[in-house]
Amino acid sequence: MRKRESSFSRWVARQVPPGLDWWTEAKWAISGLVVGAFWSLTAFCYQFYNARNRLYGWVNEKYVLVESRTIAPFPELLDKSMAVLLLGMVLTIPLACYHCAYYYLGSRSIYVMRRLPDRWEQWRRCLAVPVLLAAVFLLAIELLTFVYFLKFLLETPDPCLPSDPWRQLLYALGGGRA
Amino acid sequence: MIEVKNLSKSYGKKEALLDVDLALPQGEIVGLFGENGAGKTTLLKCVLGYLRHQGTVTLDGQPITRSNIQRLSFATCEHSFFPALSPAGHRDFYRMHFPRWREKRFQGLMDFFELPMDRAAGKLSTGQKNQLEVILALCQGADYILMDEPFAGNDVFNREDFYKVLLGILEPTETVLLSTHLLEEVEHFIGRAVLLRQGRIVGDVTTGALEDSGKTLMDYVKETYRYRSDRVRKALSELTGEEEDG
Repeated sequence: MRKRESSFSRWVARQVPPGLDWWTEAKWAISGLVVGAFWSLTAFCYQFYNARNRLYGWVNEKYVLVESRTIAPFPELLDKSMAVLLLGMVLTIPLACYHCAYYYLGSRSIYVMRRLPDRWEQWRRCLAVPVLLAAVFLLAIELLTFVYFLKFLLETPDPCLPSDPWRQLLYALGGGRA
Repeated sequence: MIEVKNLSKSYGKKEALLDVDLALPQGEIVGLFGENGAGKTTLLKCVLGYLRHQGTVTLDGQPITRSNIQRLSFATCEHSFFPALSPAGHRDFYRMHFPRWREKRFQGLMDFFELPMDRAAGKLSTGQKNQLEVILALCQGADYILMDEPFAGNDVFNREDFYKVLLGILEPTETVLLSTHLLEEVEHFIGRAVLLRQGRIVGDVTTGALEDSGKTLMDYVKETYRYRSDRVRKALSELTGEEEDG
């Protein structure tokens, strides 16, 4: 039975160079997001729980919270947790280059693109998906950063929180690390 | 009308075209001839604006820009289709972008050449690729159809069929500029011949004028190129060391 194209797949097909196998690219992007998010979660939890454990100490043979201690700054805990997602974001640059080179591969379809009445069609088809993917990866980074911050805020004992946690969040959202 | 004035193009120090002047009124089928490296492909690409050049190219008095370039189409032996896209996909793409897309002509030509509608263009045979290339150029809805050796790799029957179909389907306002080496094959299908040599136009004649003078296109080309008919005989005698007869 012939596969029926959904309106979504038709829409995506119009955002990439004609005939390009966008589904393979989408699968790679989704895989990158899943692996990146998993790596990120694992790396952050490892850093966070280690940092939280360092708030405790032995006092009179009891393992208790040392309230005078302060947890490591939030940006420091993020460490390299976003590395895979950042890599995914960076890889959208060669993807855009591939989309641009597509018109020279196997034929010179660039000749058709340069005859289109809409001058932006060629560039739109080169850049739309890479830019969209870069935005998705960036959004994932920011979203996960916020989720981790909530975890940091809720699971860190109050006396051990830094004095300006929200400022640290803004710093981390802006791409700052320790 | 396409008007080319003082068109020059060089690749480094090599001059590919030099002060070319050419006018292409609507409704003509023009053959563009010349030896390899004469500048045929360069001329076509300059007209289409694919190459930077000196001089002017106008379409009905206006420079060729995005606003009017859809009135020109191009079929090239390099192929300009999208290899991963099927003919049906090309139809959809062209229909979306070229408002004057000729649906009926496309369907008719696809049927005539029995091309598969759903196979990727890159997976067609060489002959079929050429056919698709030309079909797309003919169906874009352009007034000026520029073709650069479009039948390279097609057998003679195939080419013959194509010329006949071409003559049968072209409307009076459609102009074809056909660059080819196949002089004798196209002689009866063109109305005018333009000869290029070393980047210059060295001949421009209508086939009507040729008929009146009793010459064939080949005679005209040989005459214009000052072809030395004895050069083969001389070369052979030098190579084999044999004395020339008579």
